[in-house]
Amino acid sequence: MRGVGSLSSLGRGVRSRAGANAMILVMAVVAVASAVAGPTYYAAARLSILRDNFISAPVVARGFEATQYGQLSGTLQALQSEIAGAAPGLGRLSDQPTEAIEATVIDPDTNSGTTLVWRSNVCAHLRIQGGCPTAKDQIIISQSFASTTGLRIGENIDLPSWSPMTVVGIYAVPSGSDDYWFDRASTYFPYEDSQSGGSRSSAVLTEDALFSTEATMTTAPLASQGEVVIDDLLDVPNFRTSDLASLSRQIVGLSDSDELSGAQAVITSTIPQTVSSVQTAWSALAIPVLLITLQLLGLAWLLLFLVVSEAVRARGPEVALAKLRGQGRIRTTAFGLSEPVAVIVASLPLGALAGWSATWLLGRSLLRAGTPVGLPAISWAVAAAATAGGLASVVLASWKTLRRPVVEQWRRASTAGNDRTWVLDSILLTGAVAGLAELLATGKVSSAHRSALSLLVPGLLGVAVAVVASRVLPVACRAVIRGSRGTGLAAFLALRQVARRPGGSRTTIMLATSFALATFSLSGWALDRANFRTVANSQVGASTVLSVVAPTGTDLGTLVAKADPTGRQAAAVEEYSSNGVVTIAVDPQPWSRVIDWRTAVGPGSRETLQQAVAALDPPEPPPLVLDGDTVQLDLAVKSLSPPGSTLSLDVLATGATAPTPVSLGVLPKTGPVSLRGSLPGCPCIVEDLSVVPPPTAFAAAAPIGSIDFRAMEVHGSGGWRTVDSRFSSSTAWISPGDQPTSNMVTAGSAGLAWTFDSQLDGEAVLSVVDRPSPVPAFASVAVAPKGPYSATGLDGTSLPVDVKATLAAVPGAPADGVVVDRRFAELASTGDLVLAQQQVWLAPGAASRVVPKLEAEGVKVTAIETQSGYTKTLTRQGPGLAGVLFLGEAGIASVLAAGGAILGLYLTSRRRRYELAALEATGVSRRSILSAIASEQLIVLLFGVLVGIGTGMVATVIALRDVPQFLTQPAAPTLATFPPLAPLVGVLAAAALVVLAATLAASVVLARSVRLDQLREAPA
Amino acid sequence: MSEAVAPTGAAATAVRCDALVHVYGVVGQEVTALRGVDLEVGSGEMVALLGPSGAGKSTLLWILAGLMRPTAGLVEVYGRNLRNISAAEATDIRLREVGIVMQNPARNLLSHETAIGNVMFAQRPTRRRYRTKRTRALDLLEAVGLRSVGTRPAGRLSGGEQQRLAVAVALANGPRLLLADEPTSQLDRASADAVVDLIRAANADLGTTVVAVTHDPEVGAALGRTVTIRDGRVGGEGRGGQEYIVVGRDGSVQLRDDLLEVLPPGSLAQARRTSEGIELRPVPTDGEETPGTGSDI
Repeated sequence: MRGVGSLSSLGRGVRSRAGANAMILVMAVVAVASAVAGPTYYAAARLSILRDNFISAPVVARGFEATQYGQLSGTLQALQSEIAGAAPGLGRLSDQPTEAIEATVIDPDTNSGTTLVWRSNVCAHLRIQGGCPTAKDQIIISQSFASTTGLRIGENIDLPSWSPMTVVGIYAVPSGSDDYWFDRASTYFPYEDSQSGGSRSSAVLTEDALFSTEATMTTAPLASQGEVVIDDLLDVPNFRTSDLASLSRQIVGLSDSDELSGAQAVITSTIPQTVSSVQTAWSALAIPVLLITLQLLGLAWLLLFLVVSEAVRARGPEVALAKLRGQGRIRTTAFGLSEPVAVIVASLPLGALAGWSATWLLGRSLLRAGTPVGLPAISWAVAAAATAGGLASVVLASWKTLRRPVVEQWRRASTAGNDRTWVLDSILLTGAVAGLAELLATGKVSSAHRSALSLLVPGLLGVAVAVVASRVLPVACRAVIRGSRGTGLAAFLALRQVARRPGGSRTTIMLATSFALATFSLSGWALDRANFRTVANSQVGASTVLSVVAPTGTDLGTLVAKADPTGRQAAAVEEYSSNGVVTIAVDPQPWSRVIDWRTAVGPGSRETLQQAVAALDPPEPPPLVLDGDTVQLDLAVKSLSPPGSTLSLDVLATGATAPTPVSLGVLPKTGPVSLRGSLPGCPCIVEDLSVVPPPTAFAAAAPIGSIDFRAMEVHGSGGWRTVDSRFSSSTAWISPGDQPTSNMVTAGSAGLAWTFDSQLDGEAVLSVVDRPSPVPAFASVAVAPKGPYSATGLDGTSLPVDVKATLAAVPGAPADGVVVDRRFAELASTGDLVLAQQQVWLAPGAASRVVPKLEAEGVKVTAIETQSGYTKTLTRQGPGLAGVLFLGEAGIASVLAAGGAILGLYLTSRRRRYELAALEATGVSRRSILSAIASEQLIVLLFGVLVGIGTGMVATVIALRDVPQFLTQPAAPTLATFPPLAPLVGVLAAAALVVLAATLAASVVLARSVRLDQLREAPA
Repeated sequence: MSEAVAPTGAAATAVRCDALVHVYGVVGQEVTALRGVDLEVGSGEMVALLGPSGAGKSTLLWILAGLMRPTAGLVEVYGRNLRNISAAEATDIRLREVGIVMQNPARNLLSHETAIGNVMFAQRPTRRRYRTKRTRALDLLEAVGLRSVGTRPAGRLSGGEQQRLAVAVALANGPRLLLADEPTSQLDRASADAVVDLIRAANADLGTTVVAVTHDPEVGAALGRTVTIRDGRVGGEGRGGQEYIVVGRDGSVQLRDDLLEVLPPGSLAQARRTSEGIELRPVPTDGEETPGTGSDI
């Protein structure tokens, strides 16, 4: 009962001061929430980063493949055992591994081969017509293989050295990019995998794999050997941050295993790189989160101390009463502290919940979708520490009131001058200045390198300036009073009160520090946001970029033009990366309409980009057109090797997408000759002439020789007529090759003299110049200066370009891009274009319209990258996440500081209601009293807010450029170092207005509460 | 002239002040509040401390309550010297020996707490059981006529009720000495009478010694003995309706206001022993001595 009575009494006390206690509770909850949010957010962000890195990584970076060559029977078990011995803990971190036994089967007749494979659970990843092999010597074959060989379900196939196999099913591959295949789709399905576009390159000698059962493989002939494979992917969805260290150890165990290396097992994995990326991102987040949390926690404690001080001071009469009633020191202390302590203790669970909720909300918008936000043990420990700090604040704040003698409390006069606030101010100022000096003077924060320690600058600067400002305000008010005798009564009362008030300085410190932090964090967030967008805009290049695969034999540009006839929504692009430089081949007109012109940052860069795009597509030479049924070439062979080489003319018929070779016959060893060939479906465009070595050669010899071309004629309905073959111009024909001296074209009165040495190539080619040479280009300023430059073509060979312009940032490859005309780049390519990445760049909002049309044209979209997605990726990196945390916490701290300041001023003024009532009794109008209260509060609040904003801006200028924004600072585009001013000013002005409005509201409430009958009460 | 009266009850003295001096040290200056107060209050006596504002009445009361230490002199409450006691001893005295009623309800009561709760709050440091405390609280509220509003927060009671409650709170621990500082100053006549009746009842029923500071002559009359303090000294006493001058330790006497009209401050007077005592005559402004019957002092 005793406890119940005390508790109910406590409850009544808390209720009776509901406003002040609610404010203390809010402060304490925010202090705990600030503390909890840091580690909670960090834990969740770490997991988000971990998953981001692993999920977006290629399979080899989030799994490993172990291969071992040996007997088909028994080797798999040996490999499993070796892996288990080398990395015993790996099984806990990974999915069920996929195992395979592969044997190569060569057909000696055709010299072609295929792979006979057992792969665990393979049928679940194939679309099978028929059945899945379940017994020995049953196989399934690909649709492509079935159509090539004519095999049907139920038929047998003889494989050399193997028992006859029965076809039980025909498979198609839904997606060769599935993790299950672990990048082996191109090995298994050179034809069938739809993602490869079904291209049948001449380089492919292997048919699609034949899948059978484990029994087939393990009962193979004794001499049969092959490769066993274990593909093991990490169980990323269930991967925890604490697993990373273990993973590193396991991977090291695999790579260092003597047993595995002794068995000549090969481990393929880039997991260490992924782990390294994750750890880098974590490091980038850890220090900022720690600094932000500590700063905000310290500020929250300061706020709590100040608010509790006011609240406890308001309880002074009750504490005096307890002493009057003979309650001892301990009981009086317990009585005096009971309410704030109860409130602070209540803040522990509430703060933890609030911190978790805020983090959860933040996580929903910032972190990877589905990232769980929990409350780890460290969060509870920090919450307890924050609560302990809050309790310490309560004790410190209550100390003076609890020790104040009863009579002193009643008389409201100190017996001696005991204002020791300067001690705390001195400590704060000294610490802040020393911290700033340490950071700035020792170079820990400088423009030379970005450091998270820069985040300390606004807090330290804020405290230092705030302490000084808090001492300046009363002095300034006294000066104003002395200097202006004619000041009105309200202004005089306000200035007088500010000049002598002890609490005003605390309010100034509180507001100035928190608003300095808020201004800096807002600037940082705005700058982050602007720079993230700038980088995303330039890095992606357009609103959306699709990675695509066009059907074999089709031109991507033609398909894109069909999908977007306006040419304003989509542009075909091909990219080839080599040695850190990206060649971007574009269709200039549509490309210029879909690219993000915001990439052109800086004065004049937009015009430069416009001129550069225009320069990509100069007037091209007119095509060499043949219109007839037969073509004849008059020429003289000066020398030729090997003998028997033929001359071929490649022509592009109307409507065709690939050239048609027209054989003109065998070239003589020497001497003049006229060669003829039939033209297919002309009019057609001549692309090139080529000398082809005789087909009988086992190893194709490289043609070497010299030929003079004299004239070209075509036979049509009107008989033979001479064609303007441009043999008199050496610039109209080109003989491409790596060695300029080996292929040479000269022109004279006798015609065109062509000397060729094709070296390792199978043919010597003389092409009609249908493109500018060198190809016009523009490039990132870091790649090449204006003038000739050897870029890399879409086939991976050298592409001479003429750099017409350089840009600070090239769309799509800001720092390392070379942009050329796509058609010219294709024409300049002599090799295979399969390694070039095909893309479609889309204008904003075009994806929903264009993508279905592209897919209808057979274009397969393999990846989609958007500017907004890229921005989100940057935001989810460590520095971005830290910036948002800083903004959130500093914003809340500012709101609390303003709220606490208003409450503090309200409580202070409320204690002065006796004086105010006395003023009213002496005839001072209520309006003047309201004006005096409002002026007093506005002077204190606005001064603190403005000093804080100013200090925050100064800190922004000094330190913001040094705060890390990216995991790796991009070399281009040029990034802003100061945030966009307009929104910043807008937000800060809005905040100041809110403070103004709240102050006025509090003043009105207070003024209305002043009543003459309060004069009956003794001054509190 | 007034009749000289010796202090009574020396054997059962509740309060004894001997040459009590108190000086306030306010920033930069000193203010002497008590200049050598001599006072004895017998156990079970009721004394009203009268005097103009600033005379030192409240200071004397606060010293008696152990809230302040005197600068010099002796002060005893039931034989315990308060001058050199520790804070803990002073607290113990306030808990066990002294009950205090202040002028302002805010200084007497926890406004958010119920009437019962306030009486129990005063008993909190005692070792009584909760039930005992509650029973006592109810008894006291019954005695002061507030039983019916026992569960109402003190802040919602009327001024008179609050002061009656304050008396109950002050009596919660059965003090032998009740100190009251202007207990009726903010009350209407009827409420003031009720509070005085309560104090008298406590004195009569419980034998509680009462020392009350008041400006109200009716309160003074009701308490029986009055002690007038002027300029930090005991200047006079009233007993049984009679006003007496108290001769100071240095032989000084303080005249009542009506006598000061005869002998204004600064005037010369002639004192002469008579067979009945001392005669005091103003000296005429021309310097002539007024003939008298006794010897000059």
